[in-house]
Amino acid sequence: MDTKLIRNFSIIAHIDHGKSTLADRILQYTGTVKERDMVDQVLDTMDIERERGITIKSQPVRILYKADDGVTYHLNLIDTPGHVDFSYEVSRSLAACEGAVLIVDATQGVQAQTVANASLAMNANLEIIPVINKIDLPSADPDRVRAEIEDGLAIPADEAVLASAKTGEGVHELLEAIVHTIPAPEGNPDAPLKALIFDSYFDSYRGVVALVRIVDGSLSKGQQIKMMATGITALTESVGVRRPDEVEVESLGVGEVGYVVTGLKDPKMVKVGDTITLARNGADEPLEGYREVKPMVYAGFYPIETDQYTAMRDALDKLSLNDAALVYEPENSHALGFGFRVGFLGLLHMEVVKERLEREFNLDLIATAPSVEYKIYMKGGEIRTIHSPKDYPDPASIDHIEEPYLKASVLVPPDFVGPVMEVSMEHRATIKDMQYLSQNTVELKISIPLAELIMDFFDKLKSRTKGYATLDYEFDGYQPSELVKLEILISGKPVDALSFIIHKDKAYERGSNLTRKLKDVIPRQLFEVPIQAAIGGRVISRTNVKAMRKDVLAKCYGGDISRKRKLLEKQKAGKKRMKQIGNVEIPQEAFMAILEVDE
Amino acid sequence: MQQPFEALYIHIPFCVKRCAYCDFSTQAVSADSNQIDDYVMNMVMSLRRASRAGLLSNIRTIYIGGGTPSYLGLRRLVELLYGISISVQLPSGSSVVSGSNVAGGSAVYSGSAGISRNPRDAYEFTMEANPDSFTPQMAKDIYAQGVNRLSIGVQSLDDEVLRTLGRVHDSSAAIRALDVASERFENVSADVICGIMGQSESSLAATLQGVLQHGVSHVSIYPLMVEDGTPLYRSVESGELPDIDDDVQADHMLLGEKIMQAAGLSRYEVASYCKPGFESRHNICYWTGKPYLGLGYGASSMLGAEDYDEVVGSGTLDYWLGDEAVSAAKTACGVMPPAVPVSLPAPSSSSDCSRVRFSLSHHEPAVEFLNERESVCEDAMLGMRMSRGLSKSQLKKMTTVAPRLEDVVKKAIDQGLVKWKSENLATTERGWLMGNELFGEIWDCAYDE
Repeated sequence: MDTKLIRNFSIIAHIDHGKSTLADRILQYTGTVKERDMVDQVLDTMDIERERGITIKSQPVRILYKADDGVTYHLNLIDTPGHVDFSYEVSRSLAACEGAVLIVDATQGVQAQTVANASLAMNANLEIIPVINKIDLPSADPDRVRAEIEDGLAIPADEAVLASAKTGEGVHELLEAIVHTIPAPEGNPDAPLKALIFDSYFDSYRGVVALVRIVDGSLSKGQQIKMMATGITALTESVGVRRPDEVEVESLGVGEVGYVVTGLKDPKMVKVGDTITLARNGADEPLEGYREVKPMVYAGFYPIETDQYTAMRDALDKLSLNDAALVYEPENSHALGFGFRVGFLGLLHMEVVKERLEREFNLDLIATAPSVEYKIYMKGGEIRTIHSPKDYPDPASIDHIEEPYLKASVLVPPDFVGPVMEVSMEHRATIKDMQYLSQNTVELKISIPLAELIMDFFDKLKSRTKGYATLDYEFDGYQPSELVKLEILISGKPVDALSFIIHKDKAYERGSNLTRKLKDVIPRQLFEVPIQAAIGGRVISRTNVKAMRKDVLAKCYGGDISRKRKLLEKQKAGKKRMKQIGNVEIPQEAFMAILEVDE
Repeated sequence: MQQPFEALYIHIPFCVKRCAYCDFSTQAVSADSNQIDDYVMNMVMSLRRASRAGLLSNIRTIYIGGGTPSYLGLRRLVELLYGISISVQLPSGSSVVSGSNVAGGSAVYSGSAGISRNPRDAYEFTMEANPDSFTPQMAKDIYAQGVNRLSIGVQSLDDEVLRTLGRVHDSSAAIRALDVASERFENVSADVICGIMGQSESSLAATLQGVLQHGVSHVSIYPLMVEDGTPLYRSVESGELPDIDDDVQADHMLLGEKIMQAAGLSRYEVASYCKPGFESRHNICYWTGKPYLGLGYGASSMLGAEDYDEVVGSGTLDYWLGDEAVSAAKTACGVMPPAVPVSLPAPSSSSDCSRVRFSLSHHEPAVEFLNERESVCEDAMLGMRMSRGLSKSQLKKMTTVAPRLEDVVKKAIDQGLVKWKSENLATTERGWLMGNELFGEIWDCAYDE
């Protein structure tokens, strides 16, 4: 394979700017996918990706394109997840490329993820080809968008490709630009093998399959390889390329993108960002940029039916085969029984996992309030890292606590700067910087605790800015914070699954909202049920569920007896579905309430 | 039969109009409809067949319920009562003991008029009547035919409340009916509903005082239930009427008990109050596991498993076809379809069946086989619905079959739902209001933890 004929590129865009549709058009135009096999979002194979219009897994595809100069080029398109939760994966996919196609919606212009993805691409030293998409729309304003790209992103845009992924207009021009603007890969075919793993998936027949880009050397079937970060070795059972169906090849050379079947049974052995080399005479140094992916958000997942615990463990095991970022450990709650503490890259990741557990594995589950990872500095000098309120130590022993902060960027039209500031204030965020990217777009840089962002920051931001605000963020280290553990006591007993860690200024309000909400959700029982919110043993708010006074079926004669008995059975079954805490029966909704509490 | 039927229920599934809260097995049919004539004729035939097969030889209580039995009108009622009198052997003479343990002779009940009948009769024969269709002539004639207890559907003496319930009569008709009934009958019961939306405590009190003043010796007080699919349910769903309030219902139940107590009527069951000796023996049969036979559309029967095959095999019971089947058949051939002999399924040999309950309505009979533990738990649950509760020895016997009952009783005592009154475990004040807590737990003992 002549390296000069290879072009490796990604498509990056803000959500809904047409990334998957443009990919579809390229595959169609080049005949990579036959007309009769064409579906929308060809590269998004999961139901959930198609329904939500998102990409979760990276998908490479090799496209053969005969350019206007008469030469047939090998284009490797690496479709990447667009969401900020998966930004590490995106960065690794971009590291496998020499160029990026940056799509900007001709009506919406530059948005937060446009900025974030463009800067990822620039940091990876990629050649960027701007594409102004949806020019078929009546409200398209390519000139304004071109100016935004130049002013806001500092990317020259006079040669931006004007395209419509819907009609196919501009696809040819784009392909020519890819061939002529993006450089061919460079590497040393004679050096020891260095292949970058940018994604992997688990195949129940073949084990872990790694998706790789060859940087130096070459990789063939039957070689003994080594993952440099984990030190795991394996025998390559086969190598090949995707077009998009798998086609086995003799070997993959410098610059090529393809797959390698490792036969390994544990996906954790093959990590995104790691470097594959040969077990013997391998490379000395791995490629740069690898890091351990760490979860940002944690939540307890508990099966509603306790006998589904094993099914849930199996489901998590299975999901994690294809989702190396998913971590979980068994957790035991007094209130909810046996379940798992699950770590996620972010809220979208959490939602996706929850939805897949429910849909693909038919599990009914309760998710507890999401939590971040806190650093607790103890008076004795010890530092504890906790990600569940259950592990919060005795407040008297705490010196101070730190929580994770984010550097976030919000893009809005100038009219909505006020609302953004308001929402930021309500969420303990501080505005660090504000600048006009163009006449129509202001970028606010804010510093916000991750815990606030995962509550409902983005929803509020969207609603107060009539949907205009776009958001992107990155991790920005830990900062000290005045945090307390808010406990909910039902009939005097603390309920672990209802407790959470919160800033002390917000504890009172949340506590009283939650006790009020719980009062509505918990049904009346034989006895009065006091519901209290407390911090460090001090009660800050209280409500009461009054005792139920009447629950009796009065009429019960000959023909009624069976029917009345069935009613009793139904009542009893309803009670069995509730969680018994002390002598109080608490319905599932109570545990959901904590997620929905708002003013 | 080893345990012959002691109670006979005859169902009359016709009304002038369905009440707003009603989800019983009845339908609004024109009073002169042939359908009613056919039904009564079929009923008499069924009674005759059951009698010839010996199923009615030990009947001690009869209950004609509905629907609205008085809606049949005099001609049909007399036909039905005559049919009963020639089919059922009722004990004659006086009973010394009140309640269900009726001592009685075996003489054939003659149906002759003029004998004074009172609650100390050896048998109990109740008929339900509604104020709009009950007349002095009817009172006289059914009395002559052996009926010795009347249950009047008063529900309320407040016209506003009656309108909410969708009743067809007003309070003055109800009072007239009570007067007519008590003029001839010593044993008159009134049904009263409490906890109705818009019903005040004083309205309920006036109703209860009213029925007491007009000669009743028995009152049933039911908290209103809003049943799915009823017009009342739709009114609540649409917001036209407020939903019922459990706190109000609790207050009403307590008020009802207080007023009854003051008038010398004591509670003997969740919803039943009476002067001494006026307990409904028929209902007590239901609550003490006595076998009963129900005839008519929607009626249920219960008997021991050992008698089930014999009764069913005798071929004397008929299906009571559903309304649709009846009208379809009538459209097709212009007459009531002939009764269809029953073939009920047999309990599977592995089911350890001790009791069977069945209903012969619709095309398919509904049959329920209860094993010994289920039967015992059902008896325990029904027993605790009565004031006398369960005796220590009864409970001990029950516990050997359903061991979890012991824990349930302990817990219920802790919760203040029941307590020991000398040798009997009985329901407390709180237990009357919160009965489902207890009944549900007791019934659950039928199953493994």
